[in-house]
Amino acid sequence: MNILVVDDDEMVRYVLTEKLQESGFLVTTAPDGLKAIELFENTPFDAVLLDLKMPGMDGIETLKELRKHDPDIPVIMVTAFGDITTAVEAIKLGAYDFVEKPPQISRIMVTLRRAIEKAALEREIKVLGKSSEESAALKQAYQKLKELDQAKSTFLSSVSHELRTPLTSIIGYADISRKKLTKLFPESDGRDSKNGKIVQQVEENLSTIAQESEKLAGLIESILDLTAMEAGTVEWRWEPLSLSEVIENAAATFSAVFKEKGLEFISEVEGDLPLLKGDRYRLSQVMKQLFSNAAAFTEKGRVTFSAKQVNTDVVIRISDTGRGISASRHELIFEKFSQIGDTLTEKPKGVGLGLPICRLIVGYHGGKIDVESEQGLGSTFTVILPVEEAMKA
Amino acid sequence: MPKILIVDDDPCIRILLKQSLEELEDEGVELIITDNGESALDIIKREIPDVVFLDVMMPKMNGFDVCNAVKNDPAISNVFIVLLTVMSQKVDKLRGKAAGADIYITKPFNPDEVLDVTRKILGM
Ligand SMILES: Nc1ncnc2c1ncn2[C@@H]1O[C@H](COP(=O)(O)OP(=O)(O)OP(=O)(O)O)[C@@H](O)[C@H]1O
Ligand SMILES: [Mg+2]
Repeated sequence: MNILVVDDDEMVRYVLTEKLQESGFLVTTAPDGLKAIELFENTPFDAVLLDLKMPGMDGIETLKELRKHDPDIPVIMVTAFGDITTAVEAIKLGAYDFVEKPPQISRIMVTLRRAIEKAALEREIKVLGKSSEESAALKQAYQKLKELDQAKSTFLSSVSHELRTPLTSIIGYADISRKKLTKLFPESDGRDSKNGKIVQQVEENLSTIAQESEKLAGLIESILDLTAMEAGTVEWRWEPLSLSEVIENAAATFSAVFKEKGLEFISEVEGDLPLLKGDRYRLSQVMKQLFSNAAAFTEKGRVTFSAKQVNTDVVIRISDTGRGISASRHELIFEKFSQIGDTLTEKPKGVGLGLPICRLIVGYHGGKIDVESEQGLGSTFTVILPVEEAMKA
Repeated sequence: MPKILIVDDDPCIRILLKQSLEELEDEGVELIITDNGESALDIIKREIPDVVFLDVMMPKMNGFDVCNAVKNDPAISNVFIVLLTVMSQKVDKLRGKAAGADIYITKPFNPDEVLDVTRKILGM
């Protein structure tokens, strides 16, 4: 795969080249539009990363020229924050997508791969379209597939909509009814009489309804999260953040859970972790998921979490002394809806979306998540996040 | 006397919001309720409520349009609008922002949260 990187900023060219080469792409760079077009005339490229704002011939003009030479070439615009209108104009002119500066490598990779794949498919369809009658059927089938894919997304989002509305009522009414009941028969009235016991029971029932519905709401949220991440429609908020803060906050919300289960909960987070560019909410989602798994699958002993800088990465570890995972299942648990254990004797504790979502989030940050574990001997989950010094705003 | 307008075509949500906010009535707040966007706009013009809880998806006139109309009419543009949405997607947030909504609450919402937010807005 040969990628042309066009940017007037030498630093950006350098960093993108490094990272793209690391991922196995061939890279050619150009400092301006004219040079880009010159290169383009002589070399076949698979995709172009094109800066929007350049002195002289800007991104839009360069885009127009490039597409005159090759109307099918996937072009991804690299735009400064707040350049949405121009970026949209570029898309109307046929650019595949745009990524915001400072360019997030992982996001670029995802977009690039998708763009190249799509271009290849379209090329194939064109060839087929010329070659035979059969291809008409293929083309139709492809069209149908595309429609189905669209239908799936629409279906999921409308179902979730339809589910959330009644859930709002269920959670809300259970909550309000319980409060009204407590107001009418305050706990200070005592719960020992026969009526008192009934009041207490009804209160508890209403709490159960609310809690169970909250779980259902969580499940819907997970499904939506996952489909949105897979479709690339999640709204990411990149900002410089203190990872130790994210980890400690997540830990704080879980300390009560561990205490209740009689588990030791030990922090070994280094105080002076570097600032990282990332999505605070999503990273805390990852930490919470790992803590909640550790709590769910550990009966006795302790859970230890640590974070430290190793070269240009931050390495986070969460270790438990729980039931562990057999080696054959280490990859499986990162797949959707995969739960291990005897499903006949053991009721699953979740739905099996937690780790797949974690992996997507960590991947978007250019990092990795893995597990080391032995059955019966506990598990250690490791998250590695690159600091990407050069990419910082 | 502060006024709150509740607009939702779903009777369950309407009543839920009403019950969430009911205790404010004891403190002198008036609750007005309607089930569609058109009448909501009429009421807003006539009563000038302090806060409007506005559903997005409604027949005839949707929440975005009501919001737009309110924010573009200097006589009522100060009315605080809380959009009630089930969609936490980017496009819809942007649409809501463009329409000038002051804040969002996503469904499912928590009745206590609704009450808290309202007290804050009214400074009670
Ligand atoms: N710390 C752990 N120790 C042992 N097994 C684990 C641990 N973490 C995860 N697992 C196994 O991996 C499976 C998948 O985990 P994942 O978090 O994806 O789903 P879940 O916890 O079952 O459901 P949810 O979607 O609610 O998170 C779990 O069902 C469990 O069998
Ligand atoms: Mg889990």
